[in-house]
Amino acid sequence: MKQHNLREELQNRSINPSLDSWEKLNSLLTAHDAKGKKGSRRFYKIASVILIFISVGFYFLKPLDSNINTPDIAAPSLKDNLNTIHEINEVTETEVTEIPETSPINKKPLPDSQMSEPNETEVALTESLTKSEVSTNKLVEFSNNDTVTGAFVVKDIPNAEVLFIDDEVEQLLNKSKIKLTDHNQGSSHKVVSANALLNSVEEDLYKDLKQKLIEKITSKLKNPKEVVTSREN
Amino acid sequence: MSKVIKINKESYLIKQSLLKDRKAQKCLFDTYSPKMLGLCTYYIKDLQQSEEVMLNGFFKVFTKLNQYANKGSFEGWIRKIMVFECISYLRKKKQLIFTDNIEQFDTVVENEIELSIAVEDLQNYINELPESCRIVFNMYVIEGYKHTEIAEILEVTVGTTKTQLYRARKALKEMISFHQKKYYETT
Repeated sequence: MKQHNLREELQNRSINPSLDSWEKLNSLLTAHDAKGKKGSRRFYKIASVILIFISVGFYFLKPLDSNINTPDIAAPSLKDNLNTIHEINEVTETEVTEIPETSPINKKPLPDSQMSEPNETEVALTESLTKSEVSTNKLVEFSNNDTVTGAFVVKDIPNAEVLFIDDEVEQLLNKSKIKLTDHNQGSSHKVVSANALLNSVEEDLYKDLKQKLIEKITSKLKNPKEVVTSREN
Repeated sequence: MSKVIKINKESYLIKQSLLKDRKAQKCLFDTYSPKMLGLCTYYIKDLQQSEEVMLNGFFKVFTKLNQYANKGSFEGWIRKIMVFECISYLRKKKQLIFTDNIEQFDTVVENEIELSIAVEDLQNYINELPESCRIVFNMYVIEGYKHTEIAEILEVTVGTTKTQLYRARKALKEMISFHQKKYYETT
């Protein structure tokens, strides 16, 4: 009891601090608050800069990652769908023939029987054939918006070859979903997107098709028998 | 009734202080600063230095007030912070040196200290104790820490704290008996 009293007596010892002690403490506290605000502002600044860097990085790195991360897209299985996928507008550097400017235009619609024959070609010559529109249904038309000078129909690609190409495309599309087994982990699988593979295959296909078409056109144009120039000629 | 009102007022002031209300903080400071300065002077003899340490302690109190879990008295929490602040100050000043020589001391009964002397005299005698003895004595006798706690805080062994306490008691006893003899001789 006496010990407790002694402890209380000793604990209750009080000495009044100096008058400006609160002012000192107040200044310390205000400085601390200001520092905290500055620190939070700095934190937000740094965070925003990091976010900007990350977003820019994602923006530039996204095309590289698209081969893996893009969702699986159902590939077109029908030929019609495949035919409607791509149209290439390119400028060709070859001039086929020259015709006078005053020459009228013959644009003959082709009957179905002629369309089916592979080697029949109708050419309407223009002053300069620079624009070509190629589609996969074996029809090539050269046209000019202002002065429509002619139609150029080529039916050079055999049906068997087209079918072969289609089969090849379908096979590639079927193979496009590749399951990769990670042998280290044993159970994890990766599915490769079909979209990227499809794009690459189609690009290659159209390159080949375009080259073949150009070769056929040039070979046919060299043959004078198969060229119909104009009404006058 | 007055105690309940005081507690309610204290909790209100603590809440306001958490919201960085300067008036509430000043009110708490005015309430506890004299006692805390008295506590600091037990550990640090110089009044200016002890006041500086007390201000640093209050700064920590107000900046870390969210850590106060409303368990135990608020005053006890502040006292603990002040004690730690004093010890860290002494450590920085390198005034806190403990000798590990464990002495063969006699068992001292706690109530053996003569209480007929005035508390102020006892406080003066405590201030005259050596640094390490005084700190252990203050922590054990005034603050009520156990030897294991003191050893943990001061980063020494329990034997060292017991030795320091024994030395402090012995020195106090000698001082008291000396002054009492002197007093009786004069009277």
